[in-house]
Formats: sequence, C-alpha cells, structure tokens
Amino acid sequence: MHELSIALKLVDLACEHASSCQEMQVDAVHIAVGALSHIHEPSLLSGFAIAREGTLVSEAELIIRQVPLVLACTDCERDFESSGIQDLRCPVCHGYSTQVRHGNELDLEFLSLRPRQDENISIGSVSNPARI
Amino acid sequence: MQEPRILQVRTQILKKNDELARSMREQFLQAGVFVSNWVSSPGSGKTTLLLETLTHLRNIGQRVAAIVGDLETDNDAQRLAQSGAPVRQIMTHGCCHLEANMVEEQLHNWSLSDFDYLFVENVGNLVCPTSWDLGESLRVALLSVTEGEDKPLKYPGLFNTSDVAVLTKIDLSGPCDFDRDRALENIQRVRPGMPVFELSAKSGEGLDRWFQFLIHQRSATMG
Ligand SMILES: [Zn+2]
Repeated sequence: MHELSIALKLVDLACEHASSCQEMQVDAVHIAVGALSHIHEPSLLSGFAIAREGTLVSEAELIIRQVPLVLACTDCERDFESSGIQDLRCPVCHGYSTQVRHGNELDLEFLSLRPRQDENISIGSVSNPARI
Repeated sequence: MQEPRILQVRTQILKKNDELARSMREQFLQAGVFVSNWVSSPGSGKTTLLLETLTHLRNIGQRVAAIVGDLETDNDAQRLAQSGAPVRQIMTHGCCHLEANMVEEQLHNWSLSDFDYLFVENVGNLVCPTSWDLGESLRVALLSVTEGEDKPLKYPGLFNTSDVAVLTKIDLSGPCDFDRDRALENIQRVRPGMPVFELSAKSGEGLDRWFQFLIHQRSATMG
C-alpha cells in the first residue's frame, strides 16, 4: 500500500528537521491527516514503525490528528463540516458548487523533543539506508 | 523528566513530490505537451481506450507518446506500441502507484517539444495513485460498467482527485445490469460537477466526444 511510501517520506522529512538539534531525542512525530487524504491509519502506523528503524526518529511515536472534511458552498456562502467523504455536495442546498476547505491535509505539523538522557547514545544516520 | 520541546514544522509530507511535479508541469507547458494521468482499477479497459486514443490522435497528425506504469510486466506497453507511438515502461516492482520522480526519469533523451500529448497510464489501483501528483494537467479516472455503480462511493478518492471521469465498456451495460443513473449520481456525489464521458472502445460509441474533449483540453491548457 501507499502508506509505506508515505511513511518513508515522512521519516525523511522528520529526520531533516530533527538533524538541526541532534542533542535532543524525538519523542513523537505529529501529523495531520485529512479525511480526504485516503490514508488507512493502521497501515500508516505500521509503515512508520518500519520506516523509522535506524534513523534519528527511531524512538518516536507517530501521533495522528484527524482533520474532518470541511466544504464551502459558493451558493450558500457558508462553510460546512461534511458528514462523510461519500458526499461532497452541499448538505444544505444539495448543490454541486462546493469546494474543499479542509480534508486534503497530509502534513508534518511538529516534532516533540526532549534532551537525550544518555550522552553515550550514538547519533544515528539521518536517513534510512533501506529504501524501496 | 524535562518538559518536551516542540519543533514546529508545518510541511506537507509529500512536499518533494509536489515540488517536482510542479516544476515538471511548467516544463510540459513550456514544451507544449499536454500531459494526462490515467487512473483506474486493473481491468477497467484503460489500456484499450489508451490504444484507441493514441491511434486516433496519430491518424489526425498529432504527435503522441505514452508512459506506462505496471507492477511486473510490459504487456500494456507492448500493446500501446502497436499504435506506432513511442512508449516507455515503468516497472514498479510491487509499488502500487507512480511518483513524480519515476516519470521524470523516463523523460531523459526525449525532447518534450516533439510531442503534443503525453499519456501516463498509472498502475492499476483505486487508492494508491491518488496522493501523487505527476505533473499532469488532466487526471482521468476510469470506471468500467462491469465494476458496478457503487464503485465511486467505495473509492471516493479516485474521483475527487481527478478532473474527469470515463465510464468504459458501456456495450456491456445490459449484460451487467449496470444502473447508469445511480453511477452518474454517485460520481456527482463524490465529485460535484465532474464531467463524465460514457464510451465503449469496442463498439466505438462515445469515442469521438472523448477525442474532441482531449483536443479541446489541450488547446485550453496551452492557451
Ligand atoms: Zn449550498
């Protein structure tokens, strides 16, 4: 599934940012996943567990913030939270003039870091050598 | 224990793919080549329609080329080469979608300005290709009537990331008990306002409208 490819890209990006403060350990990688981003969460979590191996974020947990689908109807001139991704018509006028305001997110939001407890911990390589 | 520190990032996870795709799109537009990315499940009739499309456009003097993504075989590429168009193959070896850099690698030694149209046939998969921009100007979602009218609701992502939907194999609508009205309504539910083409590469029905649409899209895109 594509979740593994996405997890590998995520780990690369997280390591790129974490490498600027290698005296810190990355505890968690926080991402936002929109309802329309077609991500199967369990696959992304297991993909992340594989992708983080041997990297700067090898100890990090993946924390997913779900972003609900929000539509804007240009006819009603209002925003609506949609009931589901199977219907993107306006929930009020049932019109087709809707645009997606939120729901396409697939973003790395922030890393949470703490100082390394053990000074002897060696600093891992920035990127995972095992690429597909 | 010390309090954790927060390092703000706020970046799209697929940023590198998206940036590459954006620059490829600019390159395509400058060269005057109209690029479309065709996405569907395996067995939707994508290769058959693409073969018809390449052949027709060549017959009317258009310069066409194709790039085909396939898991393990080059069967589709061989079929498309029958049109006489240059065809290149991306063997993904199990990867369920194409990414922008895979397409970019195939462009080497091609002079893009030698083409009016470049067709990218994505790997047959309803979910995985949706997240990956390949630099195309038009994304085509194909659905055959044999797959049933509920497919758009089961795979909304295929449709709401695409620009146009094509219902293929309409010559089989009767035998399949295909509920056309429901299918069209389901497409509009998941992608309000989406243009839909109904055709059969076998009987030829609807093909002319499809070819006209591509030609029109190309001139609208190139300005
Ligand atoms: Zn409305």
